Amino acid sequence: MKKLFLGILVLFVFYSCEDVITVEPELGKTQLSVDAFLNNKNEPQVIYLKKTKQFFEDVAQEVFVADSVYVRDSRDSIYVFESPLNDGVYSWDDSVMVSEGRTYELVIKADSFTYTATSYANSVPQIDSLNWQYVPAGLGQENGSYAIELVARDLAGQFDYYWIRFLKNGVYDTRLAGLNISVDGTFSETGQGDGKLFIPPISTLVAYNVEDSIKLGDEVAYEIWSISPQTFSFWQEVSNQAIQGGGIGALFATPTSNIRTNITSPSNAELEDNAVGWFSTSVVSSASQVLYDKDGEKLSFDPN
Amino acid sequence: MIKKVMMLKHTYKIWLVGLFLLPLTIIAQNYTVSGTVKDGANGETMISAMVYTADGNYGTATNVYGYYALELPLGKHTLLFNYSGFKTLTKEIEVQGNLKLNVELQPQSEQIDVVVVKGKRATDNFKKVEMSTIELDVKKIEKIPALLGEADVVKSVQLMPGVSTVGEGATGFNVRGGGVDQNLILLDEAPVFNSSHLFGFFSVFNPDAVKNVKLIKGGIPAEYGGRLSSVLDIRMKEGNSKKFSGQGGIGALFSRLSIEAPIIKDKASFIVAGRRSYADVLAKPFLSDDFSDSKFYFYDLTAKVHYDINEKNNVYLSGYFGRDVFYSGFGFDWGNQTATARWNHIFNDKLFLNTTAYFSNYDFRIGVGDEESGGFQWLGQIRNYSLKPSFSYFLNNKNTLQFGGQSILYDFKPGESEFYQNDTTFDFSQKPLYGLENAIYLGNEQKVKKGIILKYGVRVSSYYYLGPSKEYIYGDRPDANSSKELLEIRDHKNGAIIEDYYNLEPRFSAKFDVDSVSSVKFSYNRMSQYIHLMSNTAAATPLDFYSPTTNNVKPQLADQIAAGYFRNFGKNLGWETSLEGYYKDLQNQIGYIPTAELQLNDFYEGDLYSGDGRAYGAELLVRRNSGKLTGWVSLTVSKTQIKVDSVNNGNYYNARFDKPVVGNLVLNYEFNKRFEVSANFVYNTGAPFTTSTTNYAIQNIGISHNYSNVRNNARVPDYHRLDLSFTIHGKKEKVRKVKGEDGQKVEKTVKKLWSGDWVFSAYNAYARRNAFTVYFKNEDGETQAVRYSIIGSVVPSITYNFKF
Repeated sequence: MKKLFLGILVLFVFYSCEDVITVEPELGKTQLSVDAFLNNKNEPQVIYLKKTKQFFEDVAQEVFVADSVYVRDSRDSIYVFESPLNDGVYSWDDSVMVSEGRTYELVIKADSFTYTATSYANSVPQIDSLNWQYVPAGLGQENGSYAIELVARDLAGQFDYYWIRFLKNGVYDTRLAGLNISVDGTFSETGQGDGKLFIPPISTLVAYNVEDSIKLGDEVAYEIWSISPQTFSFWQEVSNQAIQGGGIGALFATPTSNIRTNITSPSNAELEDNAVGWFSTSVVSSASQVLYDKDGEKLSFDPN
Repeated sequence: MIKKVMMLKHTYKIWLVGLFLLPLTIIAQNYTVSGTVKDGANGETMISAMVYTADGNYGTATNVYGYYALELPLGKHTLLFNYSGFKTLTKEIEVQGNLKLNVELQPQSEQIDVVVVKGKRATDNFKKVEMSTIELDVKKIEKIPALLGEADVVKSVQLMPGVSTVGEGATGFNVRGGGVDQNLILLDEAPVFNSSHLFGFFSVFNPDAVKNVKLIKGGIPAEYGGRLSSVLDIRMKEGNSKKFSGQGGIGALFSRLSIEAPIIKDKASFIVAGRRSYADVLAKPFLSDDFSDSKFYFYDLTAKVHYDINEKNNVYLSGYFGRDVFYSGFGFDWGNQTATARWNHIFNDKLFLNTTAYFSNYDFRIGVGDEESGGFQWLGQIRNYSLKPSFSYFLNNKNTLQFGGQSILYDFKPGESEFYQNDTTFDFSQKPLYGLENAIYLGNEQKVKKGIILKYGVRVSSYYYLGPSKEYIYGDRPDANSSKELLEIRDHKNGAIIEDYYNLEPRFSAKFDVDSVSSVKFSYNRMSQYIHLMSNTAAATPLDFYSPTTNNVKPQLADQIAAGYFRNFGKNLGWETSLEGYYKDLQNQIGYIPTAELQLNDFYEGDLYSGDGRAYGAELLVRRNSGKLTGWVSLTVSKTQIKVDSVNNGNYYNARFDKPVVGNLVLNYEFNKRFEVSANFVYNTGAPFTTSTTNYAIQNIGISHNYSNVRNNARVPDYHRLDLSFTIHGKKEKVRKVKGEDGQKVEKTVKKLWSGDWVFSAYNAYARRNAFTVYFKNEDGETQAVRYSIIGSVVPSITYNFKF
């Protein structure tokens, strides 16, 4: 939406301005933050435990050291996560972990408190192929870049929730603008996408406006992570909060509210001992491609 | 079906009550003097002109159609007709029977003359029973320094106590703690759903076509209904019925032109007024290639025709058409259209009927590409059709009855959207929604005895949520921040009543004179509102859609009490002061879950919270309307809070438009007929916003957190601004040599055919960087608070206005 309004108030761009001011910060107490996104990929599974930090303090989040961290699935397999360096990074790398159709329960024990969270691993469709097409510089795109489209068909039946992740040369696109979530390959439950091809812009990354653009020879990859409806809401809230940025977009920003958490804190814990963060288990499908010059082939729609 | 029959029965009953009242009213009383008051220069009817006897014992004011009726005993009377800026007209009459007396008032040639009124000054604010009401005529609006030198109806109203806005760039305005959708904005009785051009920088009303503006914030009379917080009643000019004339202006942002002329002299006339902005044309050479095909402009066209068929029948047709257009790779445009037809009928000296039929539409469109090349189109629309008969019955000098009814049919298209890809069209449209609102009302203004006036009435409103539609039955939320669980979908056929609501809305105002220069007033009103703006952004936007009342969205209700002290003082009692306090209680206010999907979502009702609101405050106004120095000072101290499920832990919190202190100073000084200067100074407390206390990262994405989950816990810096303007009036008269009766050439002063004024203005004269919002960004590892100002520098302008 913000992009949509970028060009609108061109007239008042002459008059509008931004400057840094001093605001008396309101302080909050620090809390446990849990970052646990596990999957079925053949790689170490990692859970990050940290403490939230003061908003205006420009320091790294402090680590949170737990007594024990483990995940139990619905077939009673237990995966114990270890942090040999006590740096808040807890990992499991004995085997592929997440299996489709199982429920997982995360248990974190620290001091006298036990934190829990559950997540179900849904299924995911395969990615059929990738398309790419050159898009010259223009509005919202400082440099010319390749637009990349994934071709995948939603699983027919119930609503399916996906988190679509893009990698360039093996590195995840963690820009907020790159946060791409979908229901049945469309924006929401009302998108009528059941069993159909993913639609743009869900399927298509047109603007990749970081330091460098996407060029021939780059390796690009898409991953579709199956997520729960709750995880979809979680990312939706994160995405909404991200729109709070500046510029004319401020007119269209929704009120800031706290992002949900699915970490259950012990009922006897004080507010400062309550946890924030998210636990999610996904089945992942992926496709990658080193871009080469292919003549005449284009995206399924014209990104220009 | 049974329900439908029941509804029709009920509706008929409502109308029948109205009809039964009719014969009652035709019983003739004593002798009545009645007629219309018009402006002698252009034949425009005059609203709220005072008609009173020299002894001050009898008096009344003209209604919105310039009609008055006054009951007088037998014998000789001196009748005075008075309107600010016009010469008082004195008529010696002898009442022997009912008397028809149409008069024309002549404008004062010397603009800066102090108005000296003989007898009692019945025009004084403290004399009227109305409170919380502001009337502005266009001449006053034109004197206020404005952004880019353009006089603006809504911006002028915003300088009055009790009226505020979130900030520059915010669509609409807030009255006594009400949302922007809680103002009933009427242009010749047709509601206007979006009063803003260019995101609130300008209002949609062309001042050249406006005759009178009235804002009612409290003690709202029974004839108005459908919105909780205020009525902004804008009446258009009828057009000059004496001679061809016109006016216009050439400004930095847009130009205006209006033309008015008689069709049949003194009987029929028209006015056509248009505006068009041309910033895009001027900016084109300076735009980079990316923007070279950009368009951004707005235009509006206002037109009206009136015809006095005979002494007893007048008809009026008026219309408005306006649009804002943006194009920059994608197209985005929005606008209102209204059409009003009115028929005034005078049954007899005492019974006056106005019947209004109107159509009003608001829509927006966004689109890129087409079916062939791929793309999407999105249209949102609200339409309504209404019929509204309203009677005024001048029972006697102590009682004036108002009664009538209204039916409004609503047709909502919240979102029609199609997406094109590979020759396939995906339809994302939201289903259309329908509603029918009916109301009848009866009110009486009663002069109980000298110094005491009561105005009381009741409005009965009903609302039907109509098919064809799908009714959604929702259960509980799985958690506080999630959509409600959808349990069942029921199909309803065309015309079926899915849900109905009835509301009884009592209205009451009273005035008691304290002495000959002051009075106290009290009022109470209950209002109901059946349409709701779905807006969850920092400021309302043109994309927000109106939702009807449904089985899930209840009608909003408000109760307001107000009390005030009114006093005039100074020479000729030229200083008008008022001090008012109010308390407003609001029910069924709307809140939104954090991830509310309000657009193109049939299930949006599941994303809404319901809550309460409360607003209270005190307003002071000191105003001087005549003399070389005119203007006003206003000060408002208020609090506006909302409480909706789960937001702010379920406690009351400050609304986004809560502004505890708002002060305005508006001054105009006329040096002489040629030169005048104006200034206004605006101060208000910064708008609240929510700031975070802590943060953390998930998957390398930073997340801000508020430890105690408090909404609107901080405020942007205070807002203040000074605007200045300087006007040079061209000579309106010239000396011409004409042949006298004896054939000799003599000098005669004649009115110039063309007169022009130059307006030089500076908006935000000391370049204050008022924050619309404050946001936080991380730069070089440092979290900074950034103030975003929509207008951060002085905006100078020159406008040339002309009349011919």
